Amino acid sequence: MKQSDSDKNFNINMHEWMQSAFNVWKQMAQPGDQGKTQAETTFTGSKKTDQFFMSSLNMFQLACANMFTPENIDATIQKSDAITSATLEIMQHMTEGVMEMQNSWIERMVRIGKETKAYSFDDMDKEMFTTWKNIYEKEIQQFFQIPTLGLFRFYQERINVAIDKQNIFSEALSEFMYTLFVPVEKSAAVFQKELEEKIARGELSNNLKEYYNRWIRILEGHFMSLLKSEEYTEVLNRTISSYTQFKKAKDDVLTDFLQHIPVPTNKEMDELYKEIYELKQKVKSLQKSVNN
Amino acid sequence: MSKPTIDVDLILKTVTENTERTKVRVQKATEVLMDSLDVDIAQTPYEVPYKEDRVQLKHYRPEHIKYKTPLLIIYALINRETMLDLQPGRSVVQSFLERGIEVYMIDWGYPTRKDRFVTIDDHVNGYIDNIVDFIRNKHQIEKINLMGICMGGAFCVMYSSLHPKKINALVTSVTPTNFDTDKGLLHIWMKRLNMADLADCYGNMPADVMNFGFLLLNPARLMLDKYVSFFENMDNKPFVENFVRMEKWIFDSPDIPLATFRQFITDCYQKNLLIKSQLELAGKRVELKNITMPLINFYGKFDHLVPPEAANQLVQHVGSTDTEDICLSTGHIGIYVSSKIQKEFVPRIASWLKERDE
Repeated sequence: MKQSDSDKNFNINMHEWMQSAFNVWKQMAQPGDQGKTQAETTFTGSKKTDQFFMSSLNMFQLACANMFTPENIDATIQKSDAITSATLEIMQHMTEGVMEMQNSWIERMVRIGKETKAYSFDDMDKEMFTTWKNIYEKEIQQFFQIPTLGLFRFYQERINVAIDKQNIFSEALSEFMYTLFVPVEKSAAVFQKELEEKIARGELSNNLKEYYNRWIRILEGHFMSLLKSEEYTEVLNRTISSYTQFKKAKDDVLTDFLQHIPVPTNKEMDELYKEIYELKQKVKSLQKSVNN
Repeated sequence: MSKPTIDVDLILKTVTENTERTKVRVQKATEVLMDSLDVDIAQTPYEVPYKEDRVQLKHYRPEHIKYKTPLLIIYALINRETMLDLQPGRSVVQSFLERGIEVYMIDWGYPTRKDRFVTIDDHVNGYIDNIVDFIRNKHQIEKINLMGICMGGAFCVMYSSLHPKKINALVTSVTPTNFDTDKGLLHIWMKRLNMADLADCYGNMPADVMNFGFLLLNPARLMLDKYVSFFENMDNKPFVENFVRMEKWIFDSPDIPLATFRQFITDCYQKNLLIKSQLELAGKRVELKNITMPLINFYGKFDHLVPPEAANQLVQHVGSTDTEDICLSTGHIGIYVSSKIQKEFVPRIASWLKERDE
């Protein structure tokens, strides 16, 4: 019984506190003395902005007034629990993703000291890229695929697609750059082994150019093996395709912006070029038949 | 006490000496790089008697004309024809002029986005045919000699098949005609990569993307060792001048019109239609048996862009009985810029043309 009275008092106090808080903001936003300038009498420095602020405040108060009435406040507080739970859940997913990624990196770092197979690219570590790809596809990509609504939905949709494609391209580019680095890593290992053998035999040369020439030959050999491999072609193809998609998506967004300024878009110019091209073909053909 | 396996003193001494040498070299290099350098390319004088859109015809006139039939050179759409006139002493054009051959050469210009619809047919049956007719009319002759380089060679093969009556003799050099080979990385990549879509989103195939692709054919040499070599020789003025000339030529590359690029990739690299006589330009079939004029075909033994397997099948498929296949011990560019190969390449063409100069 005592608990119930205490809850009732809390709910009434909450309602009153909300009211007074709104009143403070409303009074601040009220027009001031007649003799003062607009900047001094307005809350935001602009009457129109003040009006927008007041109407927004009223809307918010209307929504909150219902949420925080003594009879609704329990449900509101319960809902806010649900929001907190959802936020926690999202954070948990994200943390798990990052942990998974971190584990993959740690596993990879552990492997760094182990011997790498020379002139072979079938043992490339794709795991970390696959991990990130999975995290992105399962946890992040959906945010960019949420259906967009309203008057500007198509613009928003194109922006979302561009961000999504940029992320996919960045991931592919990282894998491509890593792949290009693999021959350097493998060459260093092979070269190091050769040096160790030379040291053991006491055949170390004092001509540094000899070492460079040997290293560049090993590096070239590794690059040749890599460039001919299926794995490299796959990674290169993924990078090119994802870049193509990103560029197209980015250009679509730019076209949206360009439509609002007096600059012709590529689409418009291409249509014009096509017409000019076809006209020229006709003129040249006619000119030839006239000359003949 | 056992003898140490590494002579640390000697290594440290060498490092010190190298550092000292590098310091001196950098000081001298500063003088070389700040000095006026002769790095101009394409210095041989020429006239421009014909222009069409962005395309222009360069006319090089020898001091004494010794051949009745002029030679039209058609370069690829990748990089520029200036490679044939890189510098005095390393100029294919000058070598022809010295032998009394009147030379015409097509400069394809720099395609822009408005050229994205220009097809292979527009190049072969449009620009090339108009230029051939212009030269024939100007010289009042029925036939001219045609020489094609790389992709320009493929265009010449197409043209000679479709207009055999206008060509006296055909010279092809590092010309890809058989694309069904995995010997060159370019052949592997062009079959498996979706380059046409990439070109589409740019309007045309961007030259920088193509150049980056060429650098990736041998990153260790082309992106690293080449510049190490420059650093080691940057106090040597003639070396620096030659190096900069090549850099200027390599990275001076026009974009390739989208429709041409797309068709070349699809019909040639992916379907290999040219060597099978199944390629069609604006509905007309390119039948290699129609090539009945004399043909001499050059290719490089160490060419990594157009490997011998891509170039050495042409003579077996043409209708001509007067054919010659010549494999030179060099690479794709070496044929035109190597001093050693220069002594063999142009004299061979000149004497071959002389024997067929009607």
